Amino acid sequence: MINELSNEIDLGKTTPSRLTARYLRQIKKIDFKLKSFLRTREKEALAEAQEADKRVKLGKRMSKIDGLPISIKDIICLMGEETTAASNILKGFIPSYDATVVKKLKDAGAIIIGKNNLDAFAHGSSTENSDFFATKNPWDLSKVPGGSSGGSAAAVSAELSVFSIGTDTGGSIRQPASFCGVVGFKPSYGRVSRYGVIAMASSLDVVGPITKNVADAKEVFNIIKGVDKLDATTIEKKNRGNKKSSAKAKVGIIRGIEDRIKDKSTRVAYLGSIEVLKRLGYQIQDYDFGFLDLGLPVYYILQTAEVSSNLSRYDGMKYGYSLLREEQDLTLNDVYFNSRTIGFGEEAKRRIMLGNFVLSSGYYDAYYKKAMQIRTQIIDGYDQIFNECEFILTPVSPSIAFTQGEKTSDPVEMYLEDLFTVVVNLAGLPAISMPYNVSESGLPTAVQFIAPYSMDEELLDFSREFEKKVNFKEKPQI
Amino acid sequence: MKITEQTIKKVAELSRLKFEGRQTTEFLAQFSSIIEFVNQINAVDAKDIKVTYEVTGLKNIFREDKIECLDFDRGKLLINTPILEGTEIIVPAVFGEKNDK
Repeated sequence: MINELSNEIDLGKTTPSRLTARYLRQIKKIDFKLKSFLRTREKEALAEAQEADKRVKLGKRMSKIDGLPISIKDIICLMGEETTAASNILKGFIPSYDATVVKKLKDAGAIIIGKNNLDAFAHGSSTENSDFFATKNPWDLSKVPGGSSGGSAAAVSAELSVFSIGTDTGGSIRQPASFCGVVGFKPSYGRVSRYGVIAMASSLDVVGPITKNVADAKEVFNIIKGVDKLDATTIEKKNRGNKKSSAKAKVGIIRGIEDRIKDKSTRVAYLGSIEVLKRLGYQIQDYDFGFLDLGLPVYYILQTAEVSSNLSRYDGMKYGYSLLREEQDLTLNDVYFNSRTIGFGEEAKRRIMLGNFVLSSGYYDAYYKKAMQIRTQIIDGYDQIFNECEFILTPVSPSIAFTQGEKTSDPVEMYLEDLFTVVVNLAGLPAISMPYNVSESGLPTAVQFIAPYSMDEELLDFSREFEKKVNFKEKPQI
Repeated sequence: MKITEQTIKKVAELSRLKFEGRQTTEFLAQFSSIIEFVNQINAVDAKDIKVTYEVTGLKNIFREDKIECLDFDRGKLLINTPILEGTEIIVPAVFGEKNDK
């Protein structure tokens, strides 16, 4: 997609202005059904596109994405423009700086045409938990697009933006990409700066692209990756010391994972992908991994502990919703309790409560510390598998896109959506969601590939091979 | 271990959140089912295993004590603040009668 559009611009078949206007028109035409955007930047985007037009004329395009209309998840700060994380508590919040990822995209000439919807604070797997409105799946409007980057995945799938930038703490790039039939790439922890990205769980959060294909994911990753002075957790590419075999790579699968798949379409995609890899000449080997079911409880302890800490900054004093805006004769505690109780949605409250519970004295050792110990075992478990193979194949989620409202009343049921994705975040590994086919019910299916830490580029090259063989070309009809 | 209304009240206090009446009972049910779910970790023996806080292996990152990379406009920084007096943020008193609760 990026290559094709970039070539069209270079050959004079289109211009950044015409392209941007075309995408904005599509949004007007379709997005009232999908609701994938929280805000669009029509005037600003068209003005920026005119600047890009000038660069084209001068032969000074800054990158392949120069002049392409793209979008970003509304958890990423855009200087001077409302950024809400789809939460009421940040409604009206205007950042005074750009996130590093935004700065890099702007420096490459990308035209940001709008901000995509998400589950509030990225808490959710269906984008129904946005405090503003739910996003629909472009393949079937009665289904969810997945989440939390559901607005991003829906927009890219429906071609309302060339690509979108999402975030992934436990599957929030991969699962919506799988539900919407697009590519979702979660880089290794630390490869992309999080400066200016509203924090969810700091030891797990990563920023990554949602794109139409692997070539685009690679292009965008190359632009946004790298060490950032403003994010001390960023690292250069490095090898954890896993063996590299000289023969054609081996792909690992996990014993018993099939029993956790909930529908036929997902099983077909998973088993079909094994056959595709065999045809490509890969040897498939199965391994024991004792953390298939444990990853999720460990994740829900660590993630909520970090969420409770990160969300403690919303105190009604400095920014965000505050009772002080309405009444001034208040005590400190009046401001804290009321601003937070009114400002936060149900799911944020649940996670803050669970996080403070597992961190509180008397429970810390049994929950938080223990979860961090099991996290070590999980990393070791992956290391053992990666001693023998280069990549791991798993499903992305237990089922394909589900119906709106189906899982909103039971939090644990919603958490189980992320069974196969959260465990990857605990180990900080790179992983990608790859479209496989369209099921009988007309919804896309997908599989996940996981690579050793920092082997992002290798994972993308491998996924490209798979993509060529699978040749997924279907588009949603809206 | 059983989660009671008392537990919810205590954690809500720590979280600076209020739950009242029916909300507390509803929340108690959801919270209990989540705790029951995460209790699966009880079955694991992780004694003497070291903890993992983060995965990069990075240690402390040091730099000269000089301001870098920051060129914030003070006015722009403060536009999100609920109450301002000039360029100062106004907040309720931390100490004093009114907070004696």
